[in-house]
Amino acid sequence: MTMDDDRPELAPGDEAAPSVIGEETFSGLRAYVIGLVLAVILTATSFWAANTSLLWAPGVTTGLAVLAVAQMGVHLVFFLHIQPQRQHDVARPTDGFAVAALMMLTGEQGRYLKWYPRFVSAEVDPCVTKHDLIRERPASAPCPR
Amino acid sequence: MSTFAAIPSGRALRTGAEHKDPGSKRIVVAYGFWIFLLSDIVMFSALFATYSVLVRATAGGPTGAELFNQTNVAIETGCLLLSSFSCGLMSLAIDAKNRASTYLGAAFTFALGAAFLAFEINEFASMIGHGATPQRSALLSAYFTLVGCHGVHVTVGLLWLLVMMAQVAAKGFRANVLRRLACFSLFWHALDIIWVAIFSIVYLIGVYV
Repeated sequence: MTMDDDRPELAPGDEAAPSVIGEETFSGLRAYVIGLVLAVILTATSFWAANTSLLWAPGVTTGLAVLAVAQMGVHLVFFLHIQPQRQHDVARPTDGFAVAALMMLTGEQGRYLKWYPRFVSAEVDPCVTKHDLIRERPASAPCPR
Repeated sequence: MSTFAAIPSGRALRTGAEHKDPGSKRIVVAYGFWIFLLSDIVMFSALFATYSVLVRATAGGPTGAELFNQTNVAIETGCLLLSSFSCGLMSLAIDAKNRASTYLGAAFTFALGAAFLAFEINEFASMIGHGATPQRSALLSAYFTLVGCHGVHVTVGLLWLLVMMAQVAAKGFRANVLRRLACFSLFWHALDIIWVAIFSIVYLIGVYV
């Protein structure tokens, strides 16, 4: 038994039911403001990292992916209110949904990173050309080098 | 229902009789809408994967670094983020059943969303004007499909918001109107999350690689 038991059921993404409207509105407002501030910081950092020459270049891609994941998390928690300790049981599977959503979107970034060395090598390795990516050259063709 | 049984607390331990009641309509609707959002994200994931694979397939045409204007993207990102924020404020106004604040929040949300769309259409038009059409290369096909699909979602969201404000005006804060407003809010915030992935993968990492 948890102390949630007396609360009304909440839909996924619901905030706690307002008992005192002013109070709840304030705490809701606080969540949105915190979310906005964090999102602005993360976005600004991303744009700065992509355009600066101060950072170690090969690490920037990974850094941008991490910042994007962090910002998606911020949006989920502060804008979509996916907060496990505040959700009622019926809403809990949505936390799983949220995690699945994050994995699907960020999985693509992971894929991107996996491809990253190959794209780079296309610049220097005559055996790996952009045509490999659209399968014009059979993968088994001997390397002319 | 094994998910519920696995959670050892409170109401999760439902008896067979209680299983017939899946919860209030509000919860079922929000739950179903989350499933829709996830299916939408699955579709976007496929488009992201396509873009990632084709990012170097420029067919001798312009690359991402030559195509994308970072200032433009930053403005678009700002518009959409603030629009998501004002959508949150609108949700608070709806919770408080405050009609004037709801209209104000909706107006900001709509204006910022429309500004985002205007910048995006302008960007597309400028690219197409320079010959960077979807037919030019596989990269551009993937780019216009992915980013355009998000833009279509934003357009639909703007229309939906107009319809919802008409419903608030005509019907007031009825239970069914409140459910639809909650779904709109989920939709709009989810679009902003997709945009985070787009500006990171397409406009920042895509240019950097």
